[in-house]
Amino acid sequence: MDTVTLAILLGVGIFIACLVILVSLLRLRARKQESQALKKSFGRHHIPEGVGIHDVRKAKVHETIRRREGKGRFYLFAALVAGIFGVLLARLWSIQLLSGDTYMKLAEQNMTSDVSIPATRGRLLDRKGRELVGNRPSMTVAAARSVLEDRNIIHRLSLVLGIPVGVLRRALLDDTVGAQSDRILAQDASMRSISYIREHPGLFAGVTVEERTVRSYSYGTAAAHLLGYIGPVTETDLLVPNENIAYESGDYIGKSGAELAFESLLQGIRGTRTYRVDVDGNPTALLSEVPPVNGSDVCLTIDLDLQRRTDRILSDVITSSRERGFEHANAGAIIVLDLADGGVRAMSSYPGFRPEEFTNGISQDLWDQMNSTDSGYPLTNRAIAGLYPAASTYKVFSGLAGQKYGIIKEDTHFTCNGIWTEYGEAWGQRCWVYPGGHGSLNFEEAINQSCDIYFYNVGASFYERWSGEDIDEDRRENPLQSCLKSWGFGSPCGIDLPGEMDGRVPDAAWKKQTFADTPEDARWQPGDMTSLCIGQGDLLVTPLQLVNGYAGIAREKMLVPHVFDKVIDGKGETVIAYAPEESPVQPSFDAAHIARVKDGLKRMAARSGRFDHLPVAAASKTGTAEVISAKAETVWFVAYAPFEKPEYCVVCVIEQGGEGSSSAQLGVEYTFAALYGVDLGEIIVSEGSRER
Amino acid sequence: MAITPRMESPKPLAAPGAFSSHLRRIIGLANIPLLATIAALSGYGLLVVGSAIAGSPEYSFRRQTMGIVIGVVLLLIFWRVDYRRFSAWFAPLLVLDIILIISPLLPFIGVTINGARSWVNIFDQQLQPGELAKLVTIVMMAALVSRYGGRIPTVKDYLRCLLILFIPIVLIMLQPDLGTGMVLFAIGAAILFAGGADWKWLVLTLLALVALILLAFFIDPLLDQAAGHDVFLKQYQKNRLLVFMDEDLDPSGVGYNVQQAKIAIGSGGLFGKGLGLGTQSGLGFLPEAPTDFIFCVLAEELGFVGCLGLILLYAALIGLSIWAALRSEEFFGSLAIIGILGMWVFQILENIGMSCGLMPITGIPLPFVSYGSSFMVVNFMALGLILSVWSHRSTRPS
Repeated sequence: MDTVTLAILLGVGIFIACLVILVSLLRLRARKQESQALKKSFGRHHIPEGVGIHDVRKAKVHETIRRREGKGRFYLFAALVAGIFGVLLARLWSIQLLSGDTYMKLAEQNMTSDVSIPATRGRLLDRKGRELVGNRPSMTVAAARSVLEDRNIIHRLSLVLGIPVGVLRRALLDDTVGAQSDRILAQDASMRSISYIREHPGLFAGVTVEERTVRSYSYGTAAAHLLGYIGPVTETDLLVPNENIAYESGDYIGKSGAELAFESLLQGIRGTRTYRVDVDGNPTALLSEVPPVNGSDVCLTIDLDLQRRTDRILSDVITSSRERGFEHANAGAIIVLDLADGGVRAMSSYPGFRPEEFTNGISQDLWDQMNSTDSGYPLTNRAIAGLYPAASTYKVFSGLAGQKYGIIKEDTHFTCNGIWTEYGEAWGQRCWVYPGGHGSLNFEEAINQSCDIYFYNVGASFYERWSGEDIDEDRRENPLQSCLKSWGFGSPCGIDLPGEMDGRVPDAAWKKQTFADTPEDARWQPGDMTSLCIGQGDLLVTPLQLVNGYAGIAREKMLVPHVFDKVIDGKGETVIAYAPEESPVQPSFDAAHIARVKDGLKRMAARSGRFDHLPVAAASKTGTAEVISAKAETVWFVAYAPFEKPEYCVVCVIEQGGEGSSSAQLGVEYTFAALYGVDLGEIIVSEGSRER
Repeated sequence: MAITPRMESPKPLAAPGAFSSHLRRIIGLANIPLLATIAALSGYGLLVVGSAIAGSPEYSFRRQTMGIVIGVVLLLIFWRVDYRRFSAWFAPLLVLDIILIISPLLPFIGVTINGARSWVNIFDQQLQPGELAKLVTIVMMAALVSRYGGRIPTVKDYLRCLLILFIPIVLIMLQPDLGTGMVLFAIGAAILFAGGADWKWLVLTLLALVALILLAFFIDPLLDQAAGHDVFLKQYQKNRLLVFMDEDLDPSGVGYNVQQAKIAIGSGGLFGKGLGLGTQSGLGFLPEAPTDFIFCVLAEELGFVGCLGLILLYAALIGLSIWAALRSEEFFGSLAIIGILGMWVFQILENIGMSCGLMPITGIPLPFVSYGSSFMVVNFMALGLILSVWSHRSTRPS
């Protein structure tokens, strides 16, 4: 019940009780007084002359009755007062004794003020403990928005900091930070200007100078996509509850890449200083302090040297492609996977960006520029989010499916005449050697030569057996697609980075749903199946899926790829270490089948000549993908080595990298050279065009 | 009155000159428990005020003490005076009342503080004549109503009393001083109630008043709109009512006072934080601590026990005063006491009530406790009057 109601009820109760007691007391008293008064007046014979005893008696009785009535109201008044006091006491009881603790806390809160101490964000290190992302102190000049009203201060600041007045004004007008927060005017200000501002507080009212910690990226653009960037916490971020961290407005949080993926490890826990404050909120004494718990340092599986090398190789390969006439080559990715545990040793995506641009909140202009079509979308991590047809690199997976379902047997040969007319002359499909032909070849040779027609035949067999026109619709199956999905296609690999794409393994159901509006296109055709077998058509894979699939073939087991290695404490001791994780779906295959695939890949690697300088043998596959919207083909090269005991698997993809796969091959060749310490020199590009 | 035969006082109990009998006479005239209560109450009040004003140079403990000293002198004078002669002074008292109330509106001596013309400046001393007007109204109304001898015979007589009561009330509202106006109304209500007004008339008056207030609320916004500015209720008064209706409204703005007052009272707990150790009042979170919110200081520093002590002292004061009223032979004396009690009880209810959120906020001082010497002096004069009534009671041997 509400305490006010309680107090009033109690008061009314007291009032009524007092009334009853007083009225009964009054009756008793009045009766006694009446008899006494009568007795006395008669006893003393104070009766005036000419007044009969009867009259006196009557007058006395009358008077007594009147007085009794008049006095009744006095007693009523007393009871009313008792009721009022009862109400007040009940209310005080409720406030002071029932809710006393609550109000005590509120009184404490009045007197104290909590100031949070930010925790230092943990660093990101490479697998050897070298710093990839750290923190550095920066002298920051900030000012309250009200400084806008004083032109003199702005002009003085402009002179001292060497920043144009207009720029300062714009910074002060910034509405993306809270109205009460100071606007940052200059980072990394020189000691000279800092001391000048500090020594003349009168000239710079509302301007504050403080040492802040800012995120530093020691190697600029290196592994930018993988590391990601941070930014000020937004209202949407604050809405998502994080079990460990209570964010405050103005905090910086990971927005992409590893910065986002390991946010809860990196962020740390804020400390609190409690001050006693006066009524105006000015601190008068420090009462207590809870020190902050700094964020943990996270080691990634990345090897800094290798990463910087692949970044450079990727950029050089693309530049050299352009110089060799493929002027549309503009993007690509390289991934180096450690086969032992699925750790990513290097992951490069081109074009790149500088994460440092984001540390203080990126400007709208730059953001718009980075998200324009012309920019080539530098923020996209193409290694995990770029979607391409896998092209010929996919033949090993359709080949494995063909063997599993008995379409390709040990002596299965198909004949390549350069053009395949199984479904009529009008629907003839060419092999890449057309107008030549591969002649009759077995599976290993088909992989080595990357013969399209061999795999068209495989696709046609799959179609006829499981999804042909003469099979009832409800009895059709997708064994090929199921097998491809078991190698990790069509769904994310599960890498511990945000933004990984699903890719797509098309089947009849997908096509029916996607083309629901145009039924004539919705039918699953034999051409869909044959295209799928050569990695074209509607198939889409990410570079990570492809390298992960090849890694699966190389180690004959699927592992979840990852970039997290371990968390170390201040002394460098490991606190949390990565435990290798097998993929939830594992492909099933015969050892003989996979041996034939590997044999084909080994032959191909030998033929390519790209691994001649390596101390170990390798296995590799090329791919040249036709992308309808592109002006040139997207090229792949994927390889693993050593052949016998595989250690690394590398993929390189170059968008519009040109015919054949020479540019992608170049990327993988140089990457392996770096892995095995072979000096190939630099990729030849003209000096002026080399990007840094 | 005609039918009441006058009771002759019995002879003095002892022969004059005998010291012991003289002492007994004084003791008989003085109401020892009442005097003790007054002493305890003003001492208690002084203690709390002393704690509340410590460290605030704009308040003076000496001035407060001087108020009590002057009050005691006036108490003795009023005690000595035979109050019965006032009963014939109805008309002069009414004139005095009107002069007192309009004096702050006069040029030269009138002073405006916080937007209200409630003060006069005489010999460099700022006084609130409205406080004295309370006492004058009490005596005037008691003189008027006591003529009916305990039963107001006709509606005409009742309305006449009501009309006269509303003269000072309307005038004080012009200052504007809503708080004192309400106190005057409480005084009038107490005297009319005890003076034998018919129940039905009292209830009807109350209902009419409630209807009038509701009507004012209804018309006020329309008038404001028409006039373009506040007519009846000022914005701060509207805010106070809004805060009263929703006690969690805007705790850092218009609801700040109520919120801080409740925090002060609640954080006192059972025994309080100790005299002079209140954080709400001592650190300045509680506004107007020594005057309007003095009760919060007491509640914070001395806890529920301290509050209980104060309320028990008030109960004793009121109980003993009612006892004196009942013992008075003169109906005028009884009514004057009831009027005084009406004033005190209303001010206690309003002051403590607003501090703990039971009443809307109005700046009404807490009798014998709040800082401010005008009201303190008036209270002691009122006590002198009560003691005079007590001394001139019928000394019927028992």
